[in-house]
Amino acid sequence: MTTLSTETALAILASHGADPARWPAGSQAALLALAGRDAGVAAALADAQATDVVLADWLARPLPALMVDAAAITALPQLRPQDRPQLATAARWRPALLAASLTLVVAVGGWLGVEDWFGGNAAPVVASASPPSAGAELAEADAAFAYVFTPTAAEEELI
Amino acid sequence: MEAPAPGPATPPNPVTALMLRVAEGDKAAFTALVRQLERPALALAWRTLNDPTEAQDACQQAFTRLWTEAHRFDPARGSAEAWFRRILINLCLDRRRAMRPVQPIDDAFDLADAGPDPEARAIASDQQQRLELAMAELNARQRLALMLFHGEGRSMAEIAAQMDTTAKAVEGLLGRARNMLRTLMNESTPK
Repeated sequence: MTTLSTETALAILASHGADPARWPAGSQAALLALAGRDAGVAAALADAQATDVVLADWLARPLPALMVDAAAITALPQLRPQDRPQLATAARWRPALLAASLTLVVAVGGWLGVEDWFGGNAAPVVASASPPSAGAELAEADAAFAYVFTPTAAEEELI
Repeated sequence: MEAPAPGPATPPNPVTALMLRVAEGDKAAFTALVRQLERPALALAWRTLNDPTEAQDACQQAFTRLWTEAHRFDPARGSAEAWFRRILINLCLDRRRAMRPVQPIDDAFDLADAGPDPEARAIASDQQQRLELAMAELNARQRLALMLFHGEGRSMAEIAAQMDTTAKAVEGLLGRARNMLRTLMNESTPK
């Protein structure tokens, strides 16, 4: 016969209830024997039996008169895999959209934020908004950045 | 060497066979499927949500999903019944946040309705009222676990699979639910 600690017996009774048929396989005889000689386990078994009675009452309540309206459901169209191609397309473009969004954030941040971060009206430390004509003074990376994100005349005015 | 001849394919169970017809748009098969699954589904939803109207809504929504998304059913991944139960359980648990924690007591427990043994009726009614209050205090996951284990006789492993958790977590959930129920039944005073 499997030996069982008091703690394990109490845990089984707490979660599984008092019905030996629902206890873990192989634990029944050991648990019942332990309940015969351990007052704590015997009390837990009695508690579990009382809770089982309450649960049996709950489960015995008659089901209210409810019904599913099958006709209303079959009046709806069924979805087909090809009904949602735009979702698949969107999923394919998701990495590109994410990259474009990040690039836009960096560009806007460069144009609008760098000047404030590095000293208000002082000359820009990073030439993010500088035209490519100033490229002689720029580091190579900044030049490339400015070339790609050269503002228009209207944007220059705003900056 | 010759490859062994494949044996006869196992026929799908009746519910899965109906579901395969539903996936082809067969309305009669869907109605038959609803009639087979609705009683256990309503019982499960009602005991989990503790509210008949919510239970009916959840079932209607689950069957709607079964119809509209029928093409997603894959018999190789399990039975139609198991697939439907996962849909229903997820819908029930998603609804729990929007619900009131305590439901009003039904008028059926009116003590003024005296029978041949008023005292026994009063005691039974008092017990029933305590039970209603106690079950309303449990959360939907606890009621669901109690229903699956004690009502449907499912194993811890089966419940864990249906609730997307582990058997150990289900044991803990059941232990807390039973403990809370016992405490509430001893403490709650019917109003």
